[in-house]
Amino acid sequence: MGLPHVTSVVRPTSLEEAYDLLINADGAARWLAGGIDIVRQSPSDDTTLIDISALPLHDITPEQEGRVVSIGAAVTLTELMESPLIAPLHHGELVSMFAGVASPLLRNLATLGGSLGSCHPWSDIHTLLLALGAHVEVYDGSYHTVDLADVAPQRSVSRALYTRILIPVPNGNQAASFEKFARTKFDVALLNCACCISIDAGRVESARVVAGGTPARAARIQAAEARLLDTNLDDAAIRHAADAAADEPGLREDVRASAEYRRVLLKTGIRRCLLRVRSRTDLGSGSLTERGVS
Amino acid sequence: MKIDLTVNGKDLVMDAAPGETLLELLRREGYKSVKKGCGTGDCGACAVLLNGRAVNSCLVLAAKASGSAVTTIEGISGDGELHPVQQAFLDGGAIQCGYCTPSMVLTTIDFLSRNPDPSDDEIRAAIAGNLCRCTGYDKQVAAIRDAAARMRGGPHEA
Repeated sequence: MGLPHVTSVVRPTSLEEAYDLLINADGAARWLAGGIDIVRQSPSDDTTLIDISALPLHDITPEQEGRVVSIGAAVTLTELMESPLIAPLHHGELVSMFAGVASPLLRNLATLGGSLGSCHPWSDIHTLLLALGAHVEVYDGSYHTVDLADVAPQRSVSRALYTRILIPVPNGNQAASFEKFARTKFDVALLNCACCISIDAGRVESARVVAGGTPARAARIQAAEARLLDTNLDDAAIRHAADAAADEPGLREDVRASAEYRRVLLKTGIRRCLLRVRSRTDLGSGSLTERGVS
Repeated sequence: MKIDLTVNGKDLVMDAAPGETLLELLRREGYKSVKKGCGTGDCGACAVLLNGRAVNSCLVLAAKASGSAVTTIEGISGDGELHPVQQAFLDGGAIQCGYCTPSMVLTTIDFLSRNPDPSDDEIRAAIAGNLCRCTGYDKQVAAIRDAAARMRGGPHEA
């Protein structure tokens, strides 16, 4: 049978009820969102599953006068791809990224909250949302909003329930891009990366450069970011940032790729991302072309 | 525990263990078109429509599906008429051993409901989660293109 150790599946209708169920289960309960990882990998000490599908976590709404899109943690990846609020963000980069995550069958099940909560190191979603500066609202008896970079794997530290994911809406001087390397479009990434750049008065005001599947979990590469600040994102700045990314000490070997191969991938990926970003800002007249990037 | 499901339009109350998957429950209840393949969401042979969306039933706990509408291949034809997607697969010879066919048809129905005039690339992406070890996919892609034309009311390709 699927999960013979599970003795109870409950479906609370309020966050308060849900969290009480978790606390009262004395460590033997786990949140049930899309359920993919639960069914594949549920540890045998999880005897109670708390199904969050009846909780009010299904909305996608603009907030903070349109500066942020709020996504309920139980929204599926397919629903995100079809949302008119998500589609135009960053020139469709989010929808394009989601289209490369797993299969359509799995995207119909997988939720955004579950995907982030699982903390898979190869997660394309985590990499791009980290670059975009997303925050996660969690509930553990009260609400807290934390930077995605500070959200730890749910199993190891906090058992708080993810309630919403907050994605900043880009203003006119901001652009982002994502790149994934995998054997096939839907396969787990050998490596992925993303950049989000803000421009002010023709100079890079802020930069977020992220790599995931290194094979560690997605993280910012501050050495690459530093190479971009206060530049006009010219060819030299892009080259220096890509070189700095390739020197990232966290790049390691695993069953999918060697460390050296990942260095080449990351250097190429960062260059591609930055070229696309430049073309999407008013700095877009540089001499490098995407065709020319090796 | 009791599971309320509407299966192929019929309201049912079924008994299921808390850890039982929807795949296991449906097959135990006689819906044998729902195939078990990998059991890990990779092959897609177990796909059903859950509230209209194609999902891997091997990854859905029956308890989580309670209150939902499930459609299997047994539920898509009526009055002796095959669904246009079934007919297109039949006419196009898009079947060999047939193990993947129910899931492939259901996935196609979900896909065409949202994209009635797809490109071949979009078709191939749509069935990426449904593995077929026989055909090489060319005939299925052609059949899906044909089914889309039939459902739009255009000329058949087969």
